[in-house]
Amino acid sequence: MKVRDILTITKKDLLLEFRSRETLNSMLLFALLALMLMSFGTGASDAVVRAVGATFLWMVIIFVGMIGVFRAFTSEEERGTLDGLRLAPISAESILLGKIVYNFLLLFMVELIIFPLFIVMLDYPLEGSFLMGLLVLTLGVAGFAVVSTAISALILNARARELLFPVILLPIIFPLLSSAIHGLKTVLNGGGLLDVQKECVVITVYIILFLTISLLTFEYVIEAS
Amino acid sequence: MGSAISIKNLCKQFGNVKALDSVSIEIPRGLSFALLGPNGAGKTTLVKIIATIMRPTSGDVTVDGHDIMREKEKVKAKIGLISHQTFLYEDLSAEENLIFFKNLYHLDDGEKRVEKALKIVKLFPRRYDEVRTFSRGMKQRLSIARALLHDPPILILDEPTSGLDLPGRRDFYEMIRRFKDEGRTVIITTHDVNEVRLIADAIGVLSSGKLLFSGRIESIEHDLEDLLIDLMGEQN
Repeated sequence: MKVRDILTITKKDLLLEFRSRETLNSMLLFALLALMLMSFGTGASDAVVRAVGATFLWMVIIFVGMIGVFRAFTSEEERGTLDGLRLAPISAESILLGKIVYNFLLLFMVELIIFPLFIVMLDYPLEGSFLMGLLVLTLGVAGFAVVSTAISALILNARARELLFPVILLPIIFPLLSSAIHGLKTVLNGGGLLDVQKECVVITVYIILFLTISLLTFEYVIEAS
Repeated sequence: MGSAISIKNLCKQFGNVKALDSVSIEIPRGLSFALLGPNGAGKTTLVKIIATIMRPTSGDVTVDGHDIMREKEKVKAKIGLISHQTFLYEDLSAEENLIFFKNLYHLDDGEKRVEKALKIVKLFPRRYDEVRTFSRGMKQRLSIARALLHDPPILILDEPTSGLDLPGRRDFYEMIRRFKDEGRTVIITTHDVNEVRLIADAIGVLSSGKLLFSGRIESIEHDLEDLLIDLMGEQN
């Protein structure tokens, strides 16, 4: 497994995405529509926004993420290019990590756009630091990218994989999601990094656990069908 | 002359279906070997196993002396695979595609190789154009450039002429002859007997996962087509 191989795959995927903008545009459009719908409720009291805002933002990220992350492997298969990657003298793990990094960057770009919009459109009564909120959100997004990429690879050869993906992903990601939502809520409502230490540890453990499992199994998963 | 590819008792099973059933073949270096058989005979499965992208259920396969299970990356570096699927990214230019594969194959003098490969397949003037603007024949030529980039001694062609028009096929056969002249081992899967007559030194006949015949073309006393009909008839 070489960093150069991982970056080669990530760079290629980013170049393809910037050229076609198929996935990014769909993700952003969905996120903006969801935020607009939610902004209709800006008449809600500060207390309500504080109570449900972080949950709503994560709901948007999850659905947007499912649109984007799922495409990383399926698009290779649909284009008939997955065998080209399998044929190259690189480890299977490099392919997986290349896709994880790409998915993370894609989600991070969306996050950078929708997080400030979320604050503005919901008129969020921000008490904590915006940057700290972004940091906690980014950690959760990294966890989401790892778990969802691993699962999208696992079901690559399955029938009705589009239906299977959310059904498998959502229960598995629940502990990560719960920590990510709680952490973001705490930070946005005035908490410091020490207050979200437990949540950050849970997310980090989740990332390590899923990275290990997916790296150990990916060679079998990617075998040609 | 040693073996470029050695296959011993190779089996591949998908559930209850035996895609390959105790297949054994020795392919000497520098030979042009055609793997013949009807659709579903197991040709592509065999090619995928040799190219290390599919695991065998049992049996041994070595490529240029390297075991496909234990030395995957060495085997991959020895093989260039050209298929009816081009493995190319349509939204990237011809040059960007080759640069991507050059990076995956860790080729230090890659830029020169990319330029040389594009010139060999006569696509250098179109190097900045996106692959989606290419004809089927041009895509297949670029696929050849991709497969030749790392200068592999063994080329595997999995039904490479399907979808090509007559001039495209003619160019393709010319290229295969050139590969042979360069001393490369060429393995081609096909169900076209005429194609075999034009390019192969030896053949293997697969049907329902079983190797029915393997030998040099000159050793076949009667017509190739008659042999195939006889073999298939015997099996049925």
